[in-house]
Amino acid sequence: MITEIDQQIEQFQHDFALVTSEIGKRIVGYEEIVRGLLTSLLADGHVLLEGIPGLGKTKLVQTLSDVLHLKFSRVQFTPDLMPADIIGTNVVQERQHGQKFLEFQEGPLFANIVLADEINRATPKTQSALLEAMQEKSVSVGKQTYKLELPFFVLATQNPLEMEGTYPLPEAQLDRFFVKLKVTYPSMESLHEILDRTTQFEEPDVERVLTGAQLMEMRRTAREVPIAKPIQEYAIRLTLATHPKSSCAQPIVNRYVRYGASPRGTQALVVGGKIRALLANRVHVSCEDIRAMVLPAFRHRVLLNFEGEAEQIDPDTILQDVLTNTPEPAE
Amino acid sequence: MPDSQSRTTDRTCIVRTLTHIARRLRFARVTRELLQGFTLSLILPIALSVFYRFVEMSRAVVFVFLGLWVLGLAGYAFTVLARKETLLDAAGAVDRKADLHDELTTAYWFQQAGRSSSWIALQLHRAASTAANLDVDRLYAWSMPRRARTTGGLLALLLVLNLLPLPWTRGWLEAGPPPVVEFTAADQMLLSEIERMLADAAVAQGTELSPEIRELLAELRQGRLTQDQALSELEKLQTILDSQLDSVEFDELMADIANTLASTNAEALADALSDRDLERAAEELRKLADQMTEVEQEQLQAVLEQMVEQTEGRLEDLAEELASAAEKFAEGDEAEARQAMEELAQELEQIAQQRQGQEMREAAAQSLQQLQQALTEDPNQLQAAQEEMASGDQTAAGTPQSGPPNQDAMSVQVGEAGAQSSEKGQGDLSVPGAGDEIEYGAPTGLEVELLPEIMDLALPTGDEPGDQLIDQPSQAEESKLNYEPVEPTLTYGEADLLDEDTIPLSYRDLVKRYFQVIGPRGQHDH
Repeated sequence: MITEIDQQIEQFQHDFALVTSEIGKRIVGYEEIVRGLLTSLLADGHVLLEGIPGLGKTKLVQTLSDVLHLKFSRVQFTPDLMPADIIGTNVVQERQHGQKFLEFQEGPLFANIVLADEINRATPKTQSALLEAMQEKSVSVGKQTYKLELPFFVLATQNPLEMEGTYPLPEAQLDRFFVKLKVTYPSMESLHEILDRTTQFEEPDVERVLTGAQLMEMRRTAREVPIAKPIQEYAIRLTLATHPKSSCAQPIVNRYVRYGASPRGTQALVVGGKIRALLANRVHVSCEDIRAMVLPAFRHRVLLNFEGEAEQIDPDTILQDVLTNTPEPAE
Repeated sequence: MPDSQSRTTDRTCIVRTLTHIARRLRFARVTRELLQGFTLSLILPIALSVFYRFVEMSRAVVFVFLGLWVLGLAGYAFTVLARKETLLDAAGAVDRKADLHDELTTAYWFQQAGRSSSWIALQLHRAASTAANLDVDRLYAWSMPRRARTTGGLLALLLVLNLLPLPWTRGWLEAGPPPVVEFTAADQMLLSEIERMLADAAVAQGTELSPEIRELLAELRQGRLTQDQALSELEKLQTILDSQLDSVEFDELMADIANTLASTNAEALADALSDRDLERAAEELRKLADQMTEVEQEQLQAVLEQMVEQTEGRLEDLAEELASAAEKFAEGDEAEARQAMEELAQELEQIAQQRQGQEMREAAAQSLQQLQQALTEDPNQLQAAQEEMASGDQTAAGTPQSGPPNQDAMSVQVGEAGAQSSEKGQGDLSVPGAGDEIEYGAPTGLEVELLPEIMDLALPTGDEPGDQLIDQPSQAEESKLNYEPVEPTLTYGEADLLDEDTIPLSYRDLVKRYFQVIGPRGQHDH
């Protein structure tokens, strides 16, 4: 059995490396972003990508869909986008005998990978249409509920600079994203590489290397990794440390935070930690894995209060303080 | 899936390694904490050593302090040793130290929690393998703690301060019993004088010096007593001496009798009693018995009866003799009356002897008081007073000086018979005591050229110029006298005696007479 598990782990690492490698053919740099994307995909979570325009966010998602044997759809969110535009709607159809009936026309959500481009440009009504799909993996139209095909993975992007005419995502919506990844400006070397690859006649081809079934198998493997109670407790203490007035809260949290991370955030720490452990060829989660997940999993779940907003405190700063001041087990 | 034997082996391996690590950790922690505690605690005995260098302490105090220090250290060591390292702590420590990413912590927890699955079995297997490959001895190699240097330095300092007999050190081994009182030669002389006076007093009273007093004085003279012990002995002596006849009461009685006799023609007897000269009073009584007429006998009988009432309850023997004499006078038998007067005279002579002894006892008691005072006073104060006295002698010769307290005390005791002033250093020693005969020497003269000087003094209203004491050197001109430095010709012993703040008893009379002689004549004349 141990041999079987070892094989599973080996397969997991192999598949992960294969996807990463294929993506790397087209996307230069962003190893951590790609790793975060795949981790979320394997953890059955959704990703919010934040970055200024032109950094290749959309390209990254398209490339991901290209390397997976999965159905991909893209929705460009605009202020006039309606929920029915993404969920689908019932349309009147006519049979051969002239009999008319209502038939459900699936929206772009009926795919395995959904790119919600510039999600903050749509109205809250449309943004909220994603809630059920992201959490329940189903959509309801009228009295009918339609199950979405698994795996279902939403990748949303948003531009942090252009705030005019945008609608910030509500807390409930934000909490449904497994991680929020910040796409930063590429380095000099990466830019060279980007230019070399994109200013020629042909764009590098990528192959589809992973099927949906393989992806689901990888998800099952990841969830098998055991976690000891002291490590789980560490994850809980980190979560509680983001809550103002809690016993673990640091002064900076009490001062600038309105609400801390939710239990979904703790789940993200543990599940993400398990995937990181497997990638490090370990069959147990360590505190290091948990720590690595804190920033992406908590930065959109820590809600600043008025003082924090006024002073433009970066949630990452608060989380770094939490990481520094929360002791590990047996420390 | 590994078989049960393999799983047991994995668990045993993990526990064995963690136990080994826990032992190492415990040793390292205990060493570190004990060394830390010991280093900090060393400050106390070092501080004590430095303090002891300047302030003398008895061996008992040093041992009590060291005992408390050792007890404190033992208590601290007990708390350090009582704390146990858990295997989970050891797992956490080795995970961090060897960068094992919580592998052993997880494995130990799974093992303790009794969790089992194929994944957990694999984790335990991997952890056991890691544990087996750990080189615990190298990972937790024993090394000298950095604090050990500080500890060594402080320990060396402590040893140097206490064991090496350097000029600037004073070790605990030198700590002795509380400092003994070492009486100076003058004090020893004073003690001898006290003993002599007490012996004379006992002889005068027809007894012998009690062995208790003799023993106490011998102990004091031999020294080797602490200050407290010496004071206690002196107090005992004082108590014994205080229990004797009350001289104040005696004086009052004599004054009362003298007043009673003043109304009769026995004026000489009254004068003698008034002067407390009992021997003269006895002689006067005999003369009176020989020369008295019948009228005088009746008068005397009435006076004697009055004197009986006065002496009853104060001097019982004298009262009995007086009552017997009054009775004889009443019976009219002249021979018996003379005999009674003779017995009365003898009783007075006996009282005179006792009185003499009592005076000597009182003198001895005063000397004891002086000795007690010298013992209780702060040596620094004494030294300062001596220095002040010495400087006062050199710089302000001829002008009245405020003497130090000792000098004041001395003047009070020495000038027993004189009128005592309440002002410091101005005890008027010139007034003679009763019975003292003052011999005035030839006046001394100094070749001083006195320059008249008009001083601008605003005298308070009502003050007589003669009452003012101008305590100020002349501002007009410097002295015309040429002072020459004179080398002292005193022996060491004499100089030592002069430096003492008390005057030996044998020299007191001399000093008293000296001051009486040089005192203003006007005060002796009236």
